[in-house]
Amino acid sequence: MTILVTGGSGSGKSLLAEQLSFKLKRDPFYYLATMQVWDEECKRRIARHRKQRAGKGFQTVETPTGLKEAATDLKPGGTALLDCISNLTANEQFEAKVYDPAQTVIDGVLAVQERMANLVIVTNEVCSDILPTDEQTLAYLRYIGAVNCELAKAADVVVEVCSGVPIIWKGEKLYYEIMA
Amino acid sequence: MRLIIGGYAQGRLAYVMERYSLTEEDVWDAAKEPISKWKSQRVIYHAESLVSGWLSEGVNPCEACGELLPQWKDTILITQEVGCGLVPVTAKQREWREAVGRFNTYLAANAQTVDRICCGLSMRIKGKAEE
Repeated sequence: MTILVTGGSGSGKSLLAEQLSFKLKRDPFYYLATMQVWDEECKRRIARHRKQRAGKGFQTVETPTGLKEAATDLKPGGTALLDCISNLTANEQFEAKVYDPAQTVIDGVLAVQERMANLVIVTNEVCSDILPTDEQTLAYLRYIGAVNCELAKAADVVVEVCSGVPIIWKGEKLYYEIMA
Repeated sequence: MRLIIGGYAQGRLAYVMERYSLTEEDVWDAAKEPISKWKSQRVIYHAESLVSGWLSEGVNPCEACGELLPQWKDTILITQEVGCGLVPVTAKQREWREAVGRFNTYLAANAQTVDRICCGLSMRIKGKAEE
């Protein structure tokens, strides 16, 4: 079972994704974290997040870049929550500077999907604004758009969250079965 | 008239091409030419770009568009959602963004169906599914 959760900033999509993960919980129960470690402040924040999630039963794996390679270290058959695609894409584009960030992220996510029984993916709605004028940022939006379209095809359920309210784009029946 | 709306890079054109079995010749791109060059192609892509031309001529986009509506009975307009971010820094951008919002609203009010596209998926937000 693969679920893609999208929505604007602060819409409650991470919370819904977490709820969906619990409904689909299996061992191993992974949280794939995507935040890039920049400095001590990041380290402290990440340590705090890891601790919070450990209390919820998650085993955190840091995957800011190179998700495809990291996937081979995951024990198969579990449930994973991946948060989020916009971080992953930015990291691949601006940090790892890979040739095709969109394809790199897609390949990474599909590799995780293949190993897991269940995967919940959080992405971000960032393409509904006036377009940026610099080509790098515009390319970033194109990459995220391409990743989202591809992952929506690969997902059984696609849900957009607006003010905490789910709007089901794909797999409505499945969604309500899971949440029941 | 049908309206397709959604964010940048969400697969709006691909959706239209597949759903209505169209080819490249059916698509006219408003970002590349002025509206006078439109030759009744079935699809008007980047409809939000029409607003730029009208604003630069000092014409109200909704009024200009109103004159074209009779010719658009069988046309599919693909437009972009541009109003879900921060308020733009320049006055010109603010004017454009506001005008596009009004223009999209006007189009939607006059459209038989409105499909919203997100992540390559569609949702009919106006009109019946079978229309």
